[in-house]
Amino acid sequence: MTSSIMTRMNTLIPIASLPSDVMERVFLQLTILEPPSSKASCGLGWIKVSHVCREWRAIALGYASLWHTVVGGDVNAHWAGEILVRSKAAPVAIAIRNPSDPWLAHISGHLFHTRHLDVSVSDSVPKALVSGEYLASPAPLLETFAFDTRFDGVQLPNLLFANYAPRLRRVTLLGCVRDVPWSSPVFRGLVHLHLQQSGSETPSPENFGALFDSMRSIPALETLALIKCLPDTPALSESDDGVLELPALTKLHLHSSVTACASFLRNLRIPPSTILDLQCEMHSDTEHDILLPVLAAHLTAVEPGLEPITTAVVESRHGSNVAFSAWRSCTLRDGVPALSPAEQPALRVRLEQHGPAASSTPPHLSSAFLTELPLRGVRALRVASMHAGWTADHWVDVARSLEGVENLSAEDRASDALLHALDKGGAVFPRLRALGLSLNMPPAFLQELVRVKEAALEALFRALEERRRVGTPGVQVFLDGRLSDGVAR
Amino acid sequence: MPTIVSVDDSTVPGEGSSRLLLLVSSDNKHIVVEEDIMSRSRFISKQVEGFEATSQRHAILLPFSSFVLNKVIEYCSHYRGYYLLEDDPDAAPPGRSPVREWDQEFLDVDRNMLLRIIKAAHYLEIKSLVGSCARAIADMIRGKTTEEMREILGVENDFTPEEEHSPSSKCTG
Repeated sequence: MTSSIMTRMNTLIPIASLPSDVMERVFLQLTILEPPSSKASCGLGWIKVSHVCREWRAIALGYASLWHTVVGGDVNAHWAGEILVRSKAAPVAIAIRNPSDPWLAHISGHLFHTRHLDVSVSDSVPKALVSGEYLASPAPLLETFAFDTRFDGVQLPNLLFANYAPRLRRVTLLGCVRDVPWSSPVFRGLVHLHLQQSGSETPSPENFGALFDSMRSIPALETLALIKCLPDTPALSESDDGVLELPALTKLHLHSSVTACASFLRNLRIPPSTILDLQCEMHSDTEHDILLPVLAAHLTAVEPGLEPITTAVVESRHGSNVAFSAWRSCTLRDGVPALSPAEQPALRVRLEQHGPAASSTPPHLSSAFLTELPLRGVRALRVASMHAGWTADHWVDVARSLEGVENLSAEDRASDALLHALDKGGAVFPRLRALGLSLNMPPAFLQELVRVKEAALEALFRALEERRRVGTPGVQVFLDGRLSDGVAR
Repeated sequence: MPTIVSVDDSTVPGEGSSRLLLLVSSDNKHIVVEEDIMSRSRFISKQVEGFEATSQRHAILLPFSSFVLNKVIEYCSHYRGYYLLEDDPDAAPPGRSPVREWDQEFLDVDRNMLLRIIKAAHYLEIKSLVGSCARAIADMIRGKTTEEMREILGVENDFTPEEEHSPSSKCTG
């Protein structure tokens, strides 16, 4: 009785005058603003609207599109089933961690209207998951598929999505890249592919060869990430020419040994504008020699409207690692090319030295990047090195290769070496307009810092005097972040 | 169906590059507005197509006050000539309404006014405005408990004790 009086009262309030399709729009907005969550404080999220009154519950339960997201782990399998039933045939997104058997049954039963599917497994593995049979139904609406498992033996079925997923564009496979049916037509429309092998298992050349060959059928691929899944052996393809052409590729991310990355890149034909992001493990002192020519070829390739590299940064601060980044764009600040462009670098390489290669001096690698890559157009350069091996001679070589540098920043040991090179007159950057020197060192080097600074500053002023004497343009000097008009002195 | 009354030529000022429409609010205020401004409204566009078929000019009577109508006209004037995806009849309806800064300021009104605007926008079939209002209402109840939602919108709890615990209480744990 009370309940029906309340229902009548609810018909008189202003919000009751809104048509139900308007309330559906409100709830739809709320599903995005407040999705259900496993966190106790958030709990049901937008589903709370179905607890407000009868009318709202009826609207919520009757509008299939509201039930578009099922986040596993946040809801139990029974409720997940209810949500999926309520979604009817509306497109849904399913994200589930450690699915139980009933969950896998839900996935299988609702693949026909699943738009995004994200399955990750880090606990126990249900039988059905191992066989992958729950992924063997057609997925006509599927656009995104992410699968993450660190368990050996978990497979994707040979007839993945019954070979029917015409809208599939993005695939991320973590830890299960061995037994993927790469010849399946479901991969042909991909624009994004991210593969990551888990653990220390060496990828087999055969399996990778199958992937490599299947990528010929993915001409629209725009982003490709291959993390620890490139084999070291150079035989990548069974085809005659051995070259894989990816004409639409905009970004390539590789993480493997230097040899594997270089080998893969050599077999690849991609637009010169493709952004390269490489993380390479070095196992010998000379391994980088096979990588730099491949990178040089990519940087020198011509494409209409493509600028040359104008900004370069090389850093070797941590252990024996070296990081190199290069940008094509050039941002001017106070008329001087800036050292940190806002966008992504056109090329980023991180070399991690392992085993015997660790003895290879990072300064040698840093210098190799700057002298062996085609960087004549560089206007802004930053070198940061904590290694004593970076010497004045390195700077002399760099200055010879990069004559166009207008903004130069040297940090840590590299700044000390630069001052000595300037003092000796060996490192002449004729277009230099801004020079940043940072002598920061760890506290253990404090005594040395005082000594270096004194000697270094003397060297700096001598070098600046000499530049002025021979008529080289004036330079703004930034010392430890403070501006000093060194030229005027 | 709206009530349409015939008007003579003197009621509507002369035709320029954009024709003029006469809109009549529920409080009997006559508002003249360029057809171009109101073209975002599917309802108005359909009315105008009807006028062209009969070669007659009409005033369009609308079931909301001049205060609300003027707010809607202000919205349409602001976006005159702008393409908004939500108003494109050929585009797929977006799930999420984009947050437009101007809209947020425009809809910074009291709750009842917001409800009147969304109702008018729905009547006039201006999907972008419905979406922005829906977003504003959703923002109003976002993160609130069931009880707080009831309080904010003046809704009474009309569930029986049995209904109260069904069905979504099953969804966690």
